Amino acid sequence: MIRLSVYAGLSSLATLAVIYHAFSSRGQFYPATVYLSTSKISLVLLLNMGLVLMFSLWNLVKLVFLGSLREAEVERLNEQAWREIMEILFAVTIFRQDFSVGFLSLVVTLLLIKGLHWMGQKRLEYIETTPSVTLLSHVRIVSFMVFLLVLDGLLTYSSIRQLIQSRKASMSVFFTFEYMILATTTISLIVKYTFYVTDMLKEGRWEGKPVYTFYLELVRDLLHLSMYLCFFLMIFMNYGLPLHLIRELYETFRNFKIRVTDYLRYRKLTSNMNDRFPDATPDELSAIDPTCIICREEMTSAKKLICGHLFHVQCLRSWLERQNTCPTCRALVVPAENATSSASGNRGPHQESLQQGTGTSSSDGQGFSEAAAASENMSRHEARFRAAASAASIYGRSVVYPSSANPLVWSQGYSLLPQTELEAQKRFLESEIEVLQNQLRLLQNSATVDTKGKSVAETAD
Amino acid sequence: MASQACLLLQKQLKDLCKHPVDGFSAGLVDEKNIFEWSVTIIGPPDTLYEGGFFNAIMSFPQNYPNSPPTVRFTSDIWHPNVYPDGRVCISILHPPGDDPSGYELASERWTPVHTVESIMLSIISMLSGPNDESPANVEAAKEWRDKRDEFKKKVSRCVRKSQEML
Repeated sequence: MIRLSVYAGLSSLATLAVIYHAFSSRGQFYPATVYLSTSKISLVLLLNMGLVLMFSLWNLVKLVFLGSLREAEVERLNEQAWREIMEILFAVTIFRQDFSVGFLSLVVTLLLIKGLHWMGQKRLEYIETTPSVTLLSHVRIVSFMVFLLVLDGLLTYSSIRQLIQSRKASMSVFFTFEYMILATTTISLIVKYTFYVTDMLKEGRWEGKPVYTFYLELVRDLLHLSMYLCFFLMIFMNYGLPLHLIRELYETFRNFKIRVTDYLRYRKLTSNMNDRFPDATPDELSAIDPTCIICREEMTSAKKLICGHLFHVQCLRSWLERQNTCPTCRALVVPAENATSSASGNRGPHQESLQQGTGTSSSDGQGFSEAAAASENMSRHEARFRAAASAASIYGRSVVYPSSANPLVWSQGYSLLPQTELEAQKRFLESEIEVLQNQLRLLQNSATVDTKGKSVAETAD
Repeated sequence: MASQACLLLQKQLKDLCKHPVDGFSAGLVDEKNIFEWSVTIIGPPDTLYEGGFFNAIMSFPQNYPNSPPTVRFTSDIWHPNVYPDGRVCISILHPPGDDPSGYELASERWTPVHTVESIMLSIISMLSGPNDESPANVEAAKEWRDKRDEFKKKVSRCVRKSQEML
């Protein structure tokens, strides 16, 4: 900071000296300005003064809106600045026929404004992670974001106007794109801040926040990607390969790809989360310590995975965004694709029969109806069933049923109604054995039929 | 997300203050930032690291506990599973998605059930039993395997240095 002010002081001294020299030696205004704009030394000094002025203005903005920078912010600034300078130098090589003092000053402005954006992003991140934020920093960050937005808007507007006036792809294309991208970044920053404030007003219990943030980032990346592609093509048609864009384009593309894959997986898992995972019953909740192991808060309602572990639906959702295994035991939340399709059909009635298994007759009836249903089901989905059987054999299990789900339900029920439940369990197991034998027979049948080339449906009937 | 992470970390901090766990102590680097923890690991007894006090910084991501924190030793430490810059390389601290080294089982990586305590206990057990199959510090791993004496010498130098820093 001290070095900077010394430098600024020296620069202004030198500028004053050269201006004084021009006027004192030339006497009149016109020859003096001619001298100033033609002499190499005075030109360099004046340019230097311009740079210093811009930089001081930048520092002033920084001081007003952000105050002193934190270490992480300075680090980010330095790191990004070097990369950006390299890229801008590449850009300059593309627009070398337009190169002039005006262009240089525009480039410097762009660089400085980009720097403000990086710091804004970092500052917002910091505010989001700090538990207690003073009112002043809120006011500061809001006014800073509005300031950035206005700045981006103005500069985009002016460069678009220039683009329309010149009617050809020149460096104004470059600036239009850069400022448009910066404007979208600022907007996403503002939306993100709004999310943060909403979350804060709801005392940190806004469940939709991760989902919305996810969508926000998706949309932002999509916008950036399309803009970069547009720009890339424009430059490519008019000037040749835009070297400076390659890294940026690749990075945006990669980010976007990762996000889309994440998104698809996430959608697949969470779209039917309510149906896919059963609610835990109050008994199940009271049977164990009702603490959600993810957030360590008490659970009043919970979702149960097939491995029997319970979680808050929101906690589970945010984990499933990353991974489709149980946080506690790492069992797959969805067993291998083939196994689910047949298992999911059976799981519902299965658990029901276990949970209401006090009446022996109901359990029995269900078992038999299940047997019938299973055989029908199988005749229809013979191929699927076989895959399930083979998957089951790989897992070393007897057949489709997710056996790990049973012990928990069983033991829990056992504690409630020992005698009747035991009886029900026994009968249920018997009926299950029957079903399995039935299936085995049908499978063998279908295998023999298959060799003759007939459809299985017929034999099943 | 940020606030869920905040709440969870605050809860863990409170728990650790109330019921300290043997083998390490934990606190915040900066009182205002719950995402940066400063921990001191006491070299586990009956190991080469016995008697040492190793400082480390734990940085939690905003989406903790869905992503793992990073742990970086600020004290000098010579260990096959600690990078020369101090970063700890153990499988439970690796996010489950990508596999940087290519041979870890997904089952050994991060899950949201890990707490500061379980991470610290993993690190302590890492100190007592280095894993030289996936070394972060190749030289240390080589010494640990082939020139145990030299390895011991370097470790005890670190231990002494950590004691002097107190």
